[in-house]
Amino acid sequence: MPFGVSVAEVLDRAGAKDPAAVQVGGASGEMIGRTDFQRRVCFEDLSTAGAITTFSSRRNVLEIVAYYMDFFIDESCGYCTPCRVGNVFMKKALEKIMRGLGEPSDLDYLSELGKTIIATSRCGLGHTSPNPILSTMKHFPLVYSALLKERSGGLEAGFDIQGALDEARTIAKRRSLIYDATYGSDE
Amino acid sequence: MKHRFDIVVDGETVAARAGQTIMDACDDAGVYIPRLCDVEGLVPQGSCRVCTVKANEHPVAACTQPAEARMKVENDTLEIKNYRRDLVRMLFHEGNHLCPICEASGRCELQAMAYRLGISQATKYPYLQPVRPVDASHPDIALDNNRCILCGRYIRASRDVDGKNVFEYVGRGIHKRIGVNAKNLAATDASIDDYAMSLEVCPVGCIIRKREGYFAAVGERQFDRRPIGTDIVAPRRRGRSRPRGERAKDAEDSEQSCAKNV
Repeated sequence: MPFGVSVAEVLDRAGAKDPAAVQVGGASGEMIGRTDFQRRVCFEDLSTAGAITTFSSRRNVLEIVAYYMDFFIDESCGYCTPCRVGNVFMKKALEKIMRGLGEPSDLDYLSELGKTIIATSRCGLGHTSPNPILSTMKHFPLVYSALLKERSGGLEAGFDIQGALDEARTIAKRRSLIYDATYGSDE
Repeated sequence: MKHRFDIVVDGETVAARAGQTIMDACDDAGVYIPRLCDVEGLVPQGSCRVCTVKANEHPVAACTQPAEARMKVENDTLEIKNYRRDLVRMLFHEGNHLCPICEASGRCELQAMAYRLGISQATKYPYLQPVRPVDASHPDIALDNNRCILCGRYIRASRDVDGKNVFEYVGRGIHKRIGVNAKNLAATDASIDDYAMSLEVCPVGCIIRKREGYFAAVGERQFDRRPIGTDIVAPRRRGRSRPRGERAKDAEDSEQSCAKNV
């Protein structure tokens, strides 16, 4: 196919059924949604050396992104700080959101961290590794915001008190007087 | 005579020679660029990225990027400062850096850099809390990889200055760490008199010289009185051409950081 072809044309030729997300340019490229399928594959718009991956509406965008981030964590050689450490932090924040513990400020955290990794990494891997998260935050904002919650009740936002107590419960072999509502009621 | 030219760093003209890096030229001119993995006398490797500057709009590592004529360098801007803060925080969270119990406290370049960059609060980064084995086999030296920031300074010092090649990086990605050239440190030809084991090489508390800990009292330690980089800032530049109010604020900041150096 020639450069300048639209994503929709590519999908049509490939016979993609029910495409919901398209990753242009491999793991470090840009992931676009249905509203962007008229965009063109070229250096000025969506650049790629030929790798285009399509995903149907039955796929979870965040799972795909988590898989790509695992790939980059694995591929990082560890030479420079931002790529070695930053990618791990990006993945951890993504996991936190996927577990439903995310809060709106996590999006700022991800974009700032991603910006630092892109600007300060030594090679192309770190210059592009935050792209799966950054481009899905841009093109699939609702996927993220659906999982984010504002917290109240005085606990640090995103802090999972039950999860934090689990280890202590196991060690002490008893439950918490304060945080287990039913504790003591059956005695 | 070597070819000479000028570069512009934050609006100030800095003289440079062909073959110099941006950092070499700035050091000579008394303009401090924060750095952790680079140290006088060793080949620069550009791995910590704390010395990131913008050269002609592009972020580069000042310790490895050659200076070029008419190059415009941004060093002390908010954007660059934020990158550096993020990088120093990443290093803090990657290892176990417990300043209050660490014998490098007060002479630790990571700690001093955090104070210089104004990091004083907990960050949103997660702590990775590694559990890496401590190598205390050598009679005079212990190696605590949990406090390592992978600057590679003692790798280069042992290889290029001592000619012993005691250390090397092993592993990759987040599992990368420093390994020794034998079963353990005692089985190598490392000696406490090596340059690699001297206090100026390891910027943190990863190399521990046994029976020497806490040799300086609080208040007398290397960075207790003056922030890191003071020795590079030229005397004529210290506090010069800056508004009085700002200078007073700097003095206040450094006093605070001394008080906090626990």
